[in-house]
Amino acid sequence: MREKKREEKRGAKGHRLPLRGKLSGREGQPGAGERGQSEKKGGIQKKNARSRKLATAFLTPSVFGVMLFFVIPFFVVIYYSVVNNPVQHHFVFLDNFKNVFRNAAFRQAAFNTMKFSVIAVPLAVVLSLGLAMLLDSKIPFKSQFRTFFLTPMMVPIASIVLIWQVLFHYNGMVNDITALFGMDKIDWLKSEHAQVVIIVLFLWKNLGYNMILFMSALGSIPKDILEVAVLESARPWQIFVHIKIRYLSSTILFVTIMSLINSFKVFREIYLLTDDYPYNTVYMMQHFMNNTFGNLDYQKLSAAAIMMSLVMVVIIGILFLTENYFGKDVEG
Amino acid sequence: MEKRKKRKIWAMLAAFLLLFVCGCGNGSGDGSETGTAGSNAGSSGEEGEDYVYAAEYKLLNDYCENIGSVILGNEQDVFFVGVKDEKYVLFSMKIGEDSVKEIPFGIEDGMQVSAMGKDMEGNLLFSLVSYEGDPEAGGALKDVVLKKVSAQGQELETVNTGNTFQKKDPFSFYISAICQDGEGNYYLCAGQDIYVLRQDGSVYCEIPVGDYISNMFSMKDGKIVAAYRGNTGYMLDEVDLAQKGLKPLDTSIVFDYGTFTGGTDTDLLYTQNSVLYSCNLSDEKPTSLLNWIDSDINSNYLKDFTILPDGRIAAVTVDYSSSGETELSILTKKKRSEVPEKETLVYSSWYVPYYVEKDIVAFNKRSDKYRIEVREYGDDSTDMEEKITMMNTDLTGANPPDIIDLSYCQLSLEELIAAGVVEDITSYLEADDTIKREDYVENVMKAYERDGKLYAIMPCYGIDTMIGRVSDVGTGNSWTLDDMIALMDSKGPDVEILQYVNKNYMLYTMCKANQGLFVDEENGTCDFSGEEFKKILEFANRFPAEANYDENGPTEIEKLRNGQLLLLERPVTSVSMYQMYEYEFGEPVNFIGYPTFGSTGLILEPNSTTVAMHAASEHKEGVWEFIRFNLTKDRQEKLGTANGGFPVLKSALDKMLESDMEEEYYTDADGNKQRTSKSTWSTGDFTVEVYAATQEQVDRVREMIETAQPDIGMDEQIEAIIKDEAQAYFDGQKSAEDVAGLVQNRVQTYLDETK
Repeated sequence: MREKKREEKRGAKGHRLPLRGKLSGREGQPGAGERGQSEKKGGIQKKNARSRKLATAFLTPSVFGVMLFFVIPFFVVIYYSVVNNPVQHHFVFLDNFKNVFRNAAFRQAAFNTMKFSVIAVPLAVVLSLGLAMLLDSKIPFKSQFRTFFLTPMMVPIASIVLIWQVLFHYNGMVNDITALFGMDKIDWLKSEHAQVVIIVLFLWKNLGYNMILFMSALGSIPKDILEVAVLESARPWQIFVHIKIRYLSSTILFVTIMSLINSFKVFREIYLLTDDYPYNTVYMMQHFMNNTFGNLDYQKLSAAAIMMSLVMVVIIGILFLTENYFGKDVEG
Repeated sequence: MEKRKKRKIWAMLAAFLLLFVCGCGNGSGDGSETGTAGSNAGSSGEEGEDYVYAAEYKLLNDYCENIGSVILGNEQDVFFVGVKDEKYVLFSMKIGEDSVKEIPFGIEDGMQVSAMGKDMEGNLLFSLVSYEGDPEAGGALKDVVLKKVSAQGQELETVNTGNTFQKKDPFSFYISAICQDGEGNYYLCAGQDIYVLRQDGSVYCEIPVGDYISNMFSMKDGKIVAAYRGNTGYMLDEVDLAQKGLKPLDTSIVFDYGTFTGGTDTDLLYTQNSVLYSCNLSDEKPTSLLNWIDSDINSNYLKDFTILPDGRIAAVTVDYSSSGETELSILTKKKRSEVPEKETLVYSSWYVPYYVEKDIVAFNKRSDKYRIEVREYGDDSTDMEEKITMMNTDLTGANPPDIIDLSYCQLSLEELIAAGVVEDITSYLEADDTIKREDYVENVMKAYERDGKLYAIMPCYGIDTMIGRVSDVGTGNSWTLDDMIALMDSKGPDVEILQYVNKNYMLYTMCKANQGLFVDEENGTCDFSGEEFKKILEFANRFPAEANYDENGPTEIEKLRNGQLLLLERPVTSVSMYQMYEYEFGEPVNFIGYPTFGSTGLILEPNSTTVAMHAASEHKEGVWEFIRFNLTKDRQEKLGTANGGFPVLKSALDKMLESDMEEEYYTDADGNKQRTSKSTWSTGDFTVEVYAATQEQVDRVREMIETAQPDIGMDEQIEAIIKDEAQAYFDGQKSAEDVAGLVQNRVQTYLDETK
């Protein structure tokens, strides 16, 4: 089946060349044809040059904005990471990176962020895929369920935090409920359980969006292939692994990257729930960066940002390779 | 045609996008910095033009002594009353001339001028008072006479107030301002009250304002206005004769504490936060004319100011902090190029305290080479967080200030050092010919020393301490928390250990005094798990959640003397203040300091311009000039006056302490020399006359100065974490041990981060 598709592709390409030849011979006379062709070519070149100028004119503001707000700051961050401080600017090469790496708070933040991402991101992908599959099957109240899972996206972050505080405060509802079963109170946000609370919050907030992406991807899987698989007595599990997952690979990659980015952004919720310096199990990389920025420790901040971006590049690179491996034989 | 149209549309779209991108973030030029330089003074309508108000000064004390009253007239003249040949004399001087004219104004022997004003026509108004005996020794008010004199000295009206004000206590009743309306009624401002008197001297009405009136003046249209701090902010209210009360001015402009007067072209002319504004009541916002600091005028000393017909600005200032120098300043608007050029040093802060303004003005006047300009972040409407962000961004930005005020910088010295912002001034101190380290009080000099590097010097300081009876706290030099708890336990439940304190305040105070026990900043570790922290939590929990104020209850001195109150927590900034506290207790006291596990609980507190040099400053020599200026003998001997604190220069401190031991005398009516008080302290019903200090008192003050430790200050973040977690303990939700564990966890994260 794979070979057949490639041949079809080549065939389609092969048809285009004679068509171009046909166009050039329309004038009927060989000399006029060449002149006409060169005039046409000159006209096309002129048009192309004009288009390029126009494109450049439109692109310049965007390029300028990207340079000003992304590219230049990126180089500024690199510069700050190799100087002793933002005032004296003495070149110290990798000293800031060494200091950051030795810093216990940085290590704690990196560990917590990694732990959170390792647990929350797969959960966010798997659970949302599961929900999408569920809603893709023939169950009643599909529309209501979809709305229900999308609701967290509409709630402002301040309200979400308020709800979580009501639930997980020392005197909150969760402790009231557990007390009914004779359990001792737990300080959810200031104990080893804090990350569990944040993971639940993260999933609650992100599952709906991921689910919609998966539902859309599931809907675009060619029905004929699924029907053929059913006719050939493939089991649902085999259909899921060998067909659906392969067609969903690019969406899985996208959802994973988005969830990973969102997992780094969970700081906002944690900050609103617990302040600058939370219990150490929910002290994240962005706590470290925000606090060092507030203390004017730009060199530490820059070194940490570069280290974090390198890790992100590696992770995203691995994800792309994985997607390429699983999805290379499937039309996206 | 169609193509051309399309091109035009594309070109417009491209231009719009470009403008949109360029417009992003371009919102900084909205004057978020105020009072940056002379160049911004009076910039209305003349943006881009670089000009300054150049000042010429005239010292009025050259003509007489003890100038008590001074006012600018309507005809480009200044009037002042001073003592010449032991008699009160009224002088007038034309602005721009050097000679003065004496004007007879009919003041009788034994009378004093308590206030001087002017009416709409420019005639001078006087309130003259006489006392029964020495008013400083408690002599009651005898007589109040009002006089109206023309600018040429012709007596126009004399009003005898009869017995209206007789027997008033001069400490609570003092006429500070006099005005007259178009109908001839006189308005007298006395403390918290306004008295309206008819021309025959009878009282038309008495208007109790309820708050101290800082200004009373007549506006351009003749309305009499009182300025005071009310319950809802600073108020400018018009005197309403029909209602015999006050009514707010009909304006949308929001005023704050300042100096106010009627304008010449506009309704009002006023100074607020060192800026001179002009406005009509119908204006939406006032017009900023100039910043007094840019013209080397201390706005806190302003007595009167006006705009002259030729556009110049005249101002009179009285320096109450030193010898009472009274100065007339004439400000002329000039192009900057016409003014002698000086190197500019930038002082930055989100708040400019009065003593900094005083020092900057004095330095600018004295220095031929440098001039300090103030960069104050934001204005009254700017959020504090925003001000701090602006300042912090500037400290590490491309345009840093030269001088950093450590008293008003949100970042600690340690953070500034870590960011490389502050310069070590040791080399400047060592290279200086006149400033020698050994001439200065050593422990005070060390207050801003870190790892052998000196970053700032506090020229003037006070000592924060707890004060208790010797019978309660003993005679030792320090005490511990256990001692304090034992003292509290030894007294009954109705005895207060400190007045008006709550749980959080005690927690903060105790943690601050003992923070070395919990936090090891050098190694970046902390230990809140020990018994001491739990003990502090338990101790703080014994205090009320909110301080209870009982307006009808006994006064502080009554509580101290009848044993209901054990301790005072106060600063000591002069020997006379030390003596006053001794008097308050009525028995021997010990200034024992805060309970601590260290050697002393006495804390040094800067009480003057304490600045650091920015490491990236291009004018480091200039910044050192300013630092050393406040350390010179002349400045040091003047710094500590009026309970402003102790000088860091040993010789100046010795001189001050010696002066505190010298008796003062006056000659009574019989010609006998009588001992008189050196200062008087008064709060509510309590008045203390302080006489010369004894050698023992001075020795103890000196000992306190020499043993006091720098105020390391409680790290704000640690304080916030402790306060946050302790609340659950105070609410009975968590045990002291649980709270200590949480504090330990969070503070350790903080310390790890700052390593």
